[in-house]
Amino acid sequence: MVRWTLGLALIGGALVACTPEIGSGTYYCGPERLCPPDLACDDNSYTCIYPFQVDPFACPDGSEADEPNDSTTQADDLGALTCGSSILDAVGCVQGDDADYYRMESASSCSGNDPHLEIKLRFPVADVPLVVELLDESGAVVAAGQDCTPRDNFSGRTHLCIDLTPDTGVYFVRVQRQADGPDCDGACNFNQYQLDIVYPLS
Amino acid sequence: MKQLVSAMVVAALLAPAASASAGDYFGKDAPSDQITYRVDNPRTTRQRIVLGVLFGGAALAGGIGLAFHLDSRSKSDDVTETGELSGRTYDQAVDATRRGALRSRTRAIVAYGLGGALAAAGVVALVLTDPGSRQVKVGRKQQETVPSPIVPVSLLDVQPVLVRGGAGVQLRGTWSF
Repeated sequence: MVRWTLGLALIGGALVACTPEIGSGTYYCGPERLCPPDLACDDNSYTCIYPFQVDPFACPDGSEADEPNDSTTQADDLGALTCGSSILDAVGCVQGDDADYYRMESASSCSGNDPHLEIKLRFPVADVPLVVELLDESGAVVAAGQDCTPRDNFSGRTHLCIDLTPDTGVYFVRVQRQADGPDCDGACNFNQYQLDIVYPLS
Repeated sequence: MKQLVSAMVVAALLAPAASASAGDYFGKDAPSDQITYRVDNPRTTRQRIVLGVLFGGAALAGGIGLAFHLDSRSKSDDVTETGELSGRTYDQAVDATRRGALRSRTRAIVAYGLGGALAAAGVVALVLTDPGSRQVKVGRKQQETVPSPIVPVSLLDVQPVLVRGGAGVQLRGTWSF
């Protein structure tokens, strides 16, 4: 009897050890706030944590300082592109059908091996996907951000990149939600983002 | 199937105090006791099949359980994260792995349970179908009477051999069935 009990205890213990153990705050949320059943997605930290720790979504501090910037006429003016420099490193926020516009001007071509404009948008996977587009002065789309998320991505965020050599003229960068992107049936129809614009010479 | 078993009975059985008081065991002091030993009765073919099925099934179920157990363990290790933020995203692939680990765990429990039940049933069947054993007597007097009315010659063929040794005698029994 003792042997049977010990045997059953060993098997039981081994099976318990086969149960996946996912601690609170160890994973970033997946698409549409995907988390293990016993955890919930916190939209602010976009991590899977205990449900009682979850706070409602709020745009990060300073992310709406440039609002309203919802059209080309209201765009946040970044000024002229300066060769070989960082143009923008900002945190933004999109809720619902909101769109954020940034204006910049390419006055002259830059010298160097490969002067080009790099626009990178990063946003959490958890909430509604965003898109970033480069528009010309008339509002026509010149380029759209392509997925450039690193293979070993440990940020919980999707990366979109635009890389081109601009002609002279006025340009707008527009960030908004993906039109048909999954949004938890409207429950996560918002997202925060980080936008970087640089103009390297090589 | 034919089995050949050789048994040796040491002379000490015949002369427990040989060193203390040696006697003429082949003369007037020869013990009159007969040598007896027990032989297990064979199980019927049907009983053997039942036991084979039960224990074989238990082993098979245990093996299947172990396979699911290992699979569950591997998948659990793949997704388990504790402590600090790992940097991993809980996407559909991770979720599928976690679900797979739980599914394999459940299957392992079922298989282990089935295997345990079969093994228990096998033990019970082993006890219940115990055919017992029979006593076989051999010896000087027994040889004269030629025993074994129970055991057919075709099943059990006993051939006792007495060998005289330095301090006693050895009895070797050889039987096959």
